Amino acid sequence: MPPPSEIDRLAQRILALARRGPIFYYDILRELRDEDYRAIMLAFGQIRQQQLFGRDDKGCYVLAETGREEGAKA
Amino acid sequence: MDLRAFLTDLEKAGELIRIRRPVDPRHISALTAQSKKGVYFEKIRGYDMPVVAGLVGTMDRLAVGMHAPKGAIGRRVSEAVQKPIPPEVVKEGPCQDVVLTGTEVDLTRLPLPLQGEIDGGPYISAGMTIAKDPEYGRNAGFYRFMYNDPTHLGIGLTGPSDLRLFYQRALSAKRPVPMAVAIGTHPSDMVAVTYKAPVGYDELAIAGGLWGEPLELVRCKTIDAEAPANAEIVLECEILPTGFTVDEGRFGEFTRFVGELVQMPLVEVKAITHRRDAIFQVIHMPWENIVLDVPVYEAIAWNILTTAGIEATAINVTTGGCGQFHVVAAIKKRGGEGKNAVLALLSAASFKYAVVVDEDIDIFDPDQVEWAIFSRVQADRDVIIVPGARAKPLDPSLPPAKPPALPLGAKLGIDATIPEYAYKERYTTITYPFINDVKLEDYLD
Ligand SMILES: Cc1cc2nc3c(=O)[nH]c(=O)nc-3n(C[C@H](O)[C@H](O)[C@H](O)COP(=O)(O)O)c2cc1C
Ligand SMILES: [Mn+2]
Repeated sequence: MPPPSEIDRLAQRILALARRGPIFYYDILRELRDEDYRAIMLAFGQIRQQQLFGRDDKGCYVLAETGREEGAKA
Repeated sequence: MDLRAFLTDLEKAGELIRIRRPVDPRHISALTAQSKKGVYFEKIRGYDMPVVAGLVGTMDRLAVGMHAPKGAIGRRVSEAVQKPIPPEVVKEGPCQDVVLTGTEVDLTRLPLPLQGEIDGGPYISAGMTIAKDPEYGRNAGFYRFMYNDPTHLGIGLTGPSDLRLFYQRALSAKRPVPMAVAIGTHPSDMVAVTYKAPVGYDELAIAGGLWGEPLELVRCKTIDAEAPANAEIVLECEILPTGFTVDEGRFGEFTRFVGELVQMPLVEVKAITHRRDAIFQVIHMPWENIVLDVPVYEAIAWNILTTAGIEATAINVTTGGCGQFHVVAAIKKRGGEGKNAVLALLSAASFKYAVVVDEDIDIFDPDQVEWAIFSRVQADRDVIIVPGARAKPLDPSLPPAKPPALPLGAKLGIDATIPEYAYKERYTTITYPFINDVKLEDYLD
């Protein structure tokens, strides 16, 4: 089981991806192809639990609320 | 009989490949899609649990599992529905070799694959779901579960199912629904729970009916529900009374199209129990879902025709019609019954296309069905179109309907039986002289 700091690091990477634009889970797996699959699931789970993700109508993950505006600016 | 017995049967039939090299969990779906056989992934990188996927990807493989020719499975299911055998609760079972509770509950211990590019995340696709309602008792079905976080899943309570009814009752009483999710089960049991029995009817009794003996269950450790004793893995869960509030999907459906994003209830996992050397099962979409549906909808068609007093000799719910939408039936026709059979079959909400032929046609051979349509049908007399009937929402050709309005669709029926007025001599087929007197093999070196 990866340590909490590792999960935080991955969560930040996933959020950075979403800041660039809407992403599917597939995009996370592709962009983080060298990272551990299970650690990605844990990081994704942490983001979901903290409700940092919303969804667009295509089903992509986008940054929730304030996050979404930042994403649009980027 | 359990998943392992099925794996042995598949291997004997040459319908299983074993991949011994380590596989990245990212590649489970693609490798399964490329395989013409069921796949046993012995080593998934980062996990100590093997994965099996695509096991019931064809009707032939389902037939191997059910120990019956593929044309006979639907009828057996309809007989089991008439002769159910209730399950039996036993003291212990291998599915509880290992019990994980409290902080040990972590869904990321399981190698959940991402099945489709558009899917909302990794899914549990082989979840046999056994729930309880204080009034209606036990109910079993198959539901998809999207990974949300290590202790939570989204559930696809999309259709008007019994479990959805249980949930709506629980929601208004502000209580959770206790539910066991069994992963890694025998295809006979999977077919049984996919059957849409009336609410209050425990589908596990159909599983018993198919085996001819009761299915064994164990009591869950943390919730008031039971699970099949011989499952590989059991998630002991509660559907939380928080309403349809969490985004779930998208997910590649049995229609071969990707379903829409929906708002669904959240499921909390209270315990994970499993066999000591558990195998994680994946239902590879869409084909395994389609194949599991075929006998269920064939059983419905058998029931309908029996009720209508028509003697059917074979029924084929086609995989091209995604196991739910198209039905072909062969009957022993008495005057006019070609039409009666078509009308009866189209009365089921799921069937949008029904073809009825005489018993001489092999309905598992599309060529023969087409030949019957050519030679026995006059469109003005034998084709029935009924507009404005209740339809299944997942058919993308339907005009848009705003929920809660249910979509309306058209039904198409073809009576491809020999017309009553036919001049029989015109239906004389070619036969070869001395066909039974010689054998080609005898003339080959
Ligand atoms: C592999 C598979 C997955 C399924 N997933 C779902 C699902 O997510 N939601 C749903 O409503 N039905 C799903 N179904 C269909 C139900 O299992 C089926 O309609 C069943 O009869 C429902 O049982 P119930 O009404 O007793 O709860 C699935 C079927 C199969 C074979
Ligand atoms: Mn039911």
